[in-house]
Amino acid sequence: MVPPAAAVGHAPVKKQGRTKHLAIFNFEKGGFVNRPTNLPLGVMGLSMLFLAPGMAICAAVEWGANTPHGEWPLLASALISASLGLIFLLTTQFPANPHPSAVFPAVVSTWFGCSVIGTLPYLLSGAFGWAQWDSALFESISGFTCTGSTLMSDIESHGRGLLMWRQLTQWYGGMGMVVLAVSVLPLLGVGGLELMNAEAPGPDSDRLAPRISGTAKRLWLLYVSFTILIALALFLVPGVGLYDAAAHALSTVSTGGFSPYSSSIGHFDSLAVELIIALGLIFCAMSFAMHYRAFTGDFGAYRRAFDQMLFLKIILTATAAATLLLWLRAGNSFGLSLRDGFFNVVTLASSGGFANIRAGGVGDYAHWLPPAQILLAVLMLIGGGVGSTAGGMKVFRFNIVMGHTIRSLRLASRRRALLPVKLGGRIIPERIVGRVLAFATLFLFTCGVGTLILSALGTDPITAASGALSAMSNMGPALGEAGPSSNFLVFSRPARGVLAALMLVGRLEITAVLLGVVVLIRRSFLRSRRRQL
Amino acid sequence: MKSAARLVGAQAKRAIERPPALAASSWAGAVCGLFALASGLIDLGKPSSLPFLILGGVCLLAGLWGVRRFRMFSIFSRNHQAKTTFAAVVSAWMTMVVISSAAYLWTGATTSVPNALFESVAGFCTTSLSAFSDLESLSQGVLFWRASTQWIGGFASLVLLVVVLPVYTPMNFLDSVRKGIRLRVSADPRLQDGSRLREILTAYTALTLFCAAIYGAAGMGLFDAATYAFSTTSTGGGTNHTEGLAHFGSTAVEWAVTLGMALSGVSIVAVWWALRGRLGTLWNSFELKLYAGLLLALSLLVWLWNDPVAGGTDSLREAAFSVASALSSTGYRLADWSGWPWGLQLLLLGVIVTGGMSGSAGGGFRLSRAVPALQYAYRELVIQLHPNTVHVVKLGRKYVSEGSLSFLNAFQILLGMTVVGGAFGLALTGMDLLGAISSAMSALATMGPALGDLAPGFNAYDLSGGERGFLMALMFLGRLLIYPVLLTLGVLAARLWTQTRDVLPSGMPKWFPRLQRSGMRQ
Repeated sequence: MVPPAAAVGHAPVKKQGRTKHLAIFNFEKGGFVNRPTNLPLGVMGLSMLFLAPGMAICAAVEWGANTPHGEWPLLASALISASLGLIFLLTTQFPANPHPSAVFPAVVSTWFGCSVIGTLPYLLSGAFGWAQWDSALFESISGFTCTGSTLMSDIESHGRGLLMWRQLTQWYGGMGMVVLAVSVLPLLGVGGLELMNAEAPGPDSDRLAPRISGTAKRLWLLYVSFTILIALALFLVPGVGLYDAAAHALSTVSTGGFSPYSSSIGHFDSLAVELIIALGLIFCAMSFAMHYRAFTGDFGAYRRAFDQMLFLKIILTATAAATLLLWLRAGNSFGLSLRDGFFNVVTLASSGGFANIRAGGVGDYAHWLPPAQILLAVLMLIGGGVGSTAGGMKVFRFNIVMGHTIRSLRLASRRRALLPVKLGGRIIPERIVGRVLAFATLFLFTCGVGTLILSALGTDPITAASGALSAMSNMGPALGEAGPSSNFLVFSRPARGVLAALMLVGRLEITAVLLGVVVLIRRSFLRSRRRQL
Repeated sequence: MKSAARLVGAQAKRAIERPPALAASSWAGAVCGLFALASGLIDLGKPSSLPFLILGGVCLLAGLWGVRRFRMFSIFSRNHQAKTTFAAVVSAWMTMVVISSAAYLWTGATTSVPNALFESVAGFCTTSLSAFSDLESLSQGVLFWRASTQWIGGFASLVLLVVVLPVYTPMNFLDSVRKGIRLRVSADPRLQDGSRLREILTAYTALTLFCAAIYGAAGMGLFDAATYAFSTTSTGGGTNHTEGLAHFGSTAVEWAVTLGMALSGVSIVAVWWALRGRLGTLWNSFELKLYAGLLLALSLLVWLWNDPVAGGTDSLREAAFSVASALSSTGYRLADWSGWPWGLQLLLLGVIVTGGMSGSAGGGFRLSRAVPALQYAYRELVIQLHPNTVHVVKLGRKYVSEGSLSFLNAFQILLGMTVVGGAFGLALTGMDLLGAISSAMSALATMGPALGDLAPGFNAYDLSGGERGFLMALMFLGRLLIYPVLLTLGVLAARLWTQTRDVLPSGMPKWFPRLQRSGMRQ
């Protein structure tokens, strides 16, 4: 590093291109001038601006429900969210062509900022006291990352508007706030794609339109229409009101798993509801780009997406195995085994995390036989399809990892062979294989470290391991003490913090968070790099 | 990887007439016969003496005849195909297991065939699981035989690790191997193999003698010192007493065993250097420093973290003992860690899975593989930030080749899948969730004790037949590092398929599994 000019006795050189870090309000121009280019703050502000209408809608729901809870907390949070978003947006400007390394801090800070703003309704309405800010943050992060682990013990006691906000956080997080922001950011050139890739699940996002914002808009359009479809289907079932239908549609399409009832889907005790939600979960755990292509007339998209079809095969196989285990080993009737097996396999494989526990604890997979629970944990790990709202390692990666492993067996017997890894007949480039292997290593390593820390904080091994895995794959309930009939209050306060961090790491597919943190740290210590931010 | 020349002409003919599998099995039989004779001599005058003597004599003679009859110019030649060598490895282990089971049954140590099989597999896979509930009722000869199976298993696995596997799977990062035990190709392959085996045997025997000496000095009798040295050096962890090392009730013995276990987790190449007095080379070994550092750090951590009020230990001795036992995957049970904090128990499980140094007889993933695997993952992170940089993964001062890294990743996934499969099987046959997962990990790492159903204080005689079956499979896979077993099974399945496919109707439905031949293309 070059020593400062003053130290060596030269005349101070003019600082070149040094960005001022505060915008100045200019009354004559009626706006801020000298706005620093700051991608993280800009994207975060834009996303917060998008959260405000959601909060306002929830206030309307509260007002319509006419319960004693009152709608002012939601209105106030909407106001705070909108004004904060506006301030961030107006005092900064987007860089025309952001460096790839600026993208990761942007995504991480957006998610964290939105999670913090998302706690306002909980805190203002008193669902969590101010002293329990960490619980509110956990609930918010669990919502935005579509995990669905909850710290609320008596869910029905809260206002309908607040519960609707809880569902909405999942809906926002399902497609992603950054994708939402990108859809209205025509300014971003190369950086837009990087931004979307950093957030969207999967190695690379498909382009559906020439412009990134066009792709993002189409994805969100599809997302909204799925939500409406599922809500309509649920509404047609007798016994399900409009509020229930809407609330569950929001968390189904995002494979989130929150429900405004403590007993989740088991509240309805209806096969129709379970089937609709299970099919919705399967649908939304497969690539949205693939669905979009199919809906615009390209029906071959389904056939071409080999890994997405593999997801269906995995679900079929696992359902068969779970049904057999429940039927033959646990001694349930065949119909009941099939129903519970199918629903739980789907909800865990698609990282939904709904529970269909009926009266008497029927359908609680925490009480299943150990082999069935191992099966469920593996499904959690594999996760859904690339480019969907589901979490986990993703079938695409799982397939490549398996292909590479089988290749190594062949290589051991044929030392000089040159073997590619194939996926549905297509050769996968070695660069992608390497990245996927590194991802798998990081995923498992993070899970392992998370398990160690959780158990060091006093959790028993099964709850710790399954909790870490469930948080990393954004599933929701875990095994052991934190099963679907329980909640995450069984973890100690510091352990919940670890879980929340794991959720963010899992939702942003590890690299974004790790790199974002690394970049942020380096930025704050290396002043010379600040200019790039 | 060294270039491999194909066998041609007379050599190829010889390879077909004298399969390495038979040669390796003959060697295994001869060695087992030798040790069985020794057991018979120890038991002289007891009813179990005659079976040992007869069995040992027959095995020794048959083995020596086989060695002579099937002798190749080199059993472990690089010129063999992988399937040939791997079949030799698997069949050698099988032969040893069969001989040992016969010995247990004939001497009356047990009357049940599954028990004898389990005991033999656990012995040759150097796992400290036992199907015998009452060790005190066994004669000294049988106890010596038990320890011998572990010692032979340890030696065989060292040969597998240092001589055989590096030829076929580029993932054995033995520290500066050329400075220690020779791996270079010399003019006469037979000489080369012989010298390598001799070097391993020398180092291994020296380690055993050293262990026996310090055990004797710490107060064990001659017999105990010898058998415990056998099961320490091989990282087997078999004991002569039901209550294990607590039988001696001596601090000196426990410290001595701790030292022995710590040394057994060291690479045999490093032991060879130590024998040759090359301390500078030792100091340069990155893996050795990491191993020693981990031993110390973990012992202190276990000691300080434990809460004696909640049933933990407050002695550094027990902490160091458990850490050395887990890191070298020996499996002696001293402290009952089921009273320890959950975090420590899981940490210990993690240590078991990671294992010791790469050239040691212990099990697990090994340090010199775990470090590059993590570095590889970290490299991918950095590449995303700076896409145009070139990064090289280094272990100490040595570069790790891309081929090795790729293989390493596959091995790691393979281990993971084996654990999941094993845990599923164990859970299916009756274990609880925690017991199944941790036992699968522990058995695959050839350790033995785990959490839950296999916590220290429990042993395999409490388990059902199915559970023992899965444990045996896991131990076998873990001891042979998966690849030889899977490839041999694959070759057998392919052979079965090629022989039966002509019998089957030609027009099979589309969903019927087809054997992909793409791997066979050159």
